[in-house]
Amino acid sequence: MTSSSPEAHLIERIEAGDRQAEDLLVERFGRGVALVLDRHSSWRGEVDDLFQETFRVAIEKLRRGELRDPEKLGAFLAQIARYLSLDAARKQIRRKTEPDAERVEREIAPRGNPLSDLLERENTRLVRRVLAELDNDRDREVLFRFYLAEEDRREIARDLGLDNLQLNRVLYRARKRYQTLYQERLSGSRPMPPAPHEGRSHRTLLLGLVSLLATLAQVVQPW
Amino acid sequence: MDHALIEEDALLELYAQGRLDPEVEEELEAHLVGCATCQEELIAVRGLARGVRRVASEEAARLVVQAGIASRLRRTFSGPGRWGWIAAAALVVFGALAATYAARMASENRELRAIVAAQGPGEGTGDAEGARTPPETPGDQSERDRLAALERSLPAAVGTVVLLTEVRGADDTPPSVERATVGGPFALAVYILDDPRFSSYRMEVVDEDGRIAWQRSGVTPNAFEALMATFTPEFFPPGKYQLRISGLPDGGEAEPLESYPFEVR
Repeated sequence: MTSSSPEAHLIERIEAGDRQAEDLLVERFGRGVALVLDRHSSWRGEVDDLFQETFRVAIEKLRRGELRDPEKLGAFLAQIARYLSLDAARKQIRRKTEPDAERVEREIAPRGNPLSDLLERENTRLVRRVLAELDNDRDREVLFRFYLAEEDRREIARDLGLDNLQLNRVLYRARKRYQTLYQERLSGSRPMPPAPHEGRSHRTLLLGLVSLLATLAQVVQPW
Repeated sequence: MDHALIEEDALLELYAQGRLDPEVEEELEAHLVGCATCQEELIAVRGLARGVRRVASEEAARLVVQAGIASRLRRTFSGPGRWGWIAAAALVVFGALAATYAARMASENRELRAIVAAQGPGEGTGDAEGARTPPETPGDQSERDRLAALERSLPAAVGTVVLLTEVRGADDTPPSVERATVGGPFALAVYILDDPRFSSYRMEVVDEDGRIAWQRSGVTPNAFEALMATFTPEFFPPGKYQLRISGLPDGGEAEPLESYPFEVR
């Protein structure tokens, strides 16, 4: 990377005290930093706080010229975000409060807000559509076992007689289909179809439930 | 980090679940922060994962709601006579269901696939996976018979489950209960994600004039995040109703959460 690369130019401007460049830094890397923070933080409010703190620390360091290789700007920001998240987690442990995985999920998809509730329902319909469009029950089982039961990929692959590549292809296809439907939904290019389960037979639903309960059993083990 | 590697090793899926080795995770994050494509992919992974969990929760809630009705039937029709026998039969059916599922859950996935395959000849994996299904055993035949009996019995035994959802506009018709055809107790159920602010919830049915037709406090979501109440068909006169859900914090005032319209005809 030369000094004329966008990152190098951005850093030079920040070192020179250019406030617009600081805004540009947040604009360009904000979503990535938020995703990293979200991965390491336990609740949404904490992410918001750490987001501010990450860029405050990063900008101070950049002003002082502490980042020597502009090519490492992404890694630099990710490292600060991760460090702050871990530090916050350590403080939380000292306060003897346990991170709550359920809370994380609720904070990622907060309730009590009609818009977010609506978005969650739309998301669920999208996923129902993706599940209905999968080629076969085996692929649905892959998704349930991977995303719901969070089973190890190798175990899933072994049980279903797949190799890792085949399993990853199932995950990849499902994700791509979800992305396509999501983008179509965002652009409003086509109306949302009815939830597929509404038209499915009782027998098919029962089959799905048997498969589903098997995965649930490994998560909640209610019996 | 190379996009091909990220795809081939499903790194974003594993990252979202926190299952990457620390070194790989650090490397991926360094890339992710500046890569809009991977950010989009990760957002999709998370949305898909969240949706799968919610679909599973909703489907499981339906099953649990049905099982709850069996329990209600037992209490309602505990005396001797025809209804008592029907309720007992329903309980036997659900006992078989619970036993079957519990056994299956404890067993290996290969056994599970055998049952699924046995349940749905012609609707199996649809590819070479069928060849990997273990040979059928007498136990599988027995399980198949029990599940088949259960499947035939379910609609008659459990009556009607009305899973209420929010109504979004004039085109969205609220669910209805047909008193003449419901044929027995019916359940009103709502899907709810438990909120840590509340120790329990209040379910309240109000009629068109805002009068409280029924109320119960201290309700908590079951294991699959459903609130449920069961009624006899005669309980509600024909009309339009709202099921209101409020959160009940410890020592605080009830906080209205959701309202679900339904109609009794």
